[in-house]
Amino acid sequence: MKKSSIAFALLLTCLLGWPTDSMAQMTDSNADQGDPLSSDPNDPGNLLQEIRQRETEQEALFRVSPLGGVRDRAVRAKHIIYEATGFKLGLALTNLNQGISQALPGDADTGMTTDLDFVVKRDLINKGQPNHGGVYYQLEGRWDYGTTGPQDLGFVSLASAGGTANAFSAYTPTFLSRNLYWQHGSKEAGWVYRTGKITPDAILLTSQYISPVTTFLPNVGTGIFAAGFPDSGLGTVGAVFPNDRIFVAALVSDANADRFNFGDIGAGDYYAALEIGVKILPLTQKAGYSKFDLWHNDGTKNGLPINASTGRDGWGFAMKIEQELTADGRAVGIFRYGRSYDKSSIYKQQAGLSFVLVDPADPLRLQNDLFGVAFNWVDSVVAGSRDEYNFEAFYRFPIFPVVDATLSYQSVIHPAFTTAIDHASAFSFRLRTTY
Amino acid sequence: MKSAAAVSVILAILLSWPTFALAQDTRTAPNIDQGDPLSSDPTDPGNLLREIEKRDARWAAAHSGRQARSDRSYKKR
Repeated sequence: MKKSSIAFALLLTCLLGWPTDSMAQMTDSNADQGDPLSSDPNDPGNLLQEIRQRETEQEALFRVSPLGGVRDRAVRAKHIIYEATGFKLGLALTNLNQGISQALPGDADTGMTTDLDFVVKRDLINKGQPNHGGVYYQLEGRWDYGTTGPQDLGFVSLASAGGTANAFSAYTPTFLSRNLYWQHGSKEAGWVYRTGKITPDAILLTSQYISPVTTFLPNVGTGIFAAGFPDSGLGTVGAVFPNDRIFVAALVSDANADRFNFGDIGAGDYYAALEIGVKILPLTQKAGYSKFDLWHNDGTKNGLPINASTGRDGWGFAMKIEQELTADGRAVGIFRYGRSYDKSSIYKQQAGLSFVLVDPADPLRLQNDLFGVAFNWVDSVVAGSRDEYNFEAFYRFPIFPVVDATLSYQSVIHPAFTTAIDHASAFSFRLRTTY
Repeated sequence: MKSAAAVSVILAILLSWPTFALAQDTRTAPNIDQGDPLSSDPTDPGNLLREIEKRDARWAAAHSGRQARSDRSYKKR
């Protein structure tokens, strides 16, 4: 209890210590309050101001893309395929290089992994209407070029519970079908559901500002692994939206799910969760929901762990509180906390405080860049492990048009599963592009 | 019990924190994107497709001038 109190006190200090004056200055680097009579971005005054701002900003550090011709052809090909067949296609490639300052004897201290996502969508009914329905498919591939993937640098070389690079380790086999589902409805309709092969940890408690391919890296900083999540598998999730600021969602999925196959839903073990989403104090229309979850996991049929589940029957709760901190919504604070019971989740407890600033003031005036800092704490369910802390700071910027580069530094304090290392740094360089 | 108290305090701070900003003109940031109604995760298929569409649109907007110039010079040849 004392350790958790210390962790909360630290998080609280971070929140209270953030200087209000500097926040006010950060509201907009261009001191741009927009048209005094309208907040609508399409209002002529606001539109002209935005155009002027965009004209003075750089699209990327290097304006000419070495793969510009490929991109032109890819965009054109996707358009032709969509017009001819109705299939919408997308490809994302993310590569991460990481080095750690300390490693256990005999273990690697550098590595790299590429993550590939290929997505297909086909609208099938009521296209363009609120009650539209369609099928989604996602192929995922991960490979490490014969190195030790950065995720294993954290979990193995550093004996860390919080990890240093969520998702960046090779799959065997390299490719798998991660999602294949039918989705029907929308927020505008007031209801929506998804059924098929789904990924619970990419649905519940999520934030647009928290993902290892776009923002923060460590497992403890990107996933809520105190929420007992099963792996990608057969399941259903639905939500109702009484209004724009609230939703209530329920999810049921196979507790024996395995992303490499279709699990064993016939075994009768399920993961069930109830989620309530609230926009507590939205300052812009793009404000994210704060989410509160209550969950139960029946455990796996053979008692073996998978994803965030230890394989044991148990329950827990978790929350993600997301709040815009400035009037233009560019500064966002996110607090996350999860607690599991009955040793059912790989993290007994975790808490984290993250802060992101979109389009920070930088001398090159780059568009679509992002700065983030986070502090996380994890209390692993493994007996004898110690409390682990992770501080991260990153800066993401477009190095070429539609190619984002990220520089990240992590400080891992007290890796949970060893006393041989008290502190290690992790340095990362990430490249991401889409087609 | 202490954990619950700490969470309550943080909730209270977060709820009262942005009141200074509310008094200002709340100019909406451009590129409003509500994303997939069931997931905010950028790797969720719906959000990933939306992100790619936005990036393609940015690419097209930034390079439409270059493309037009290239097309004109091709026609001249």
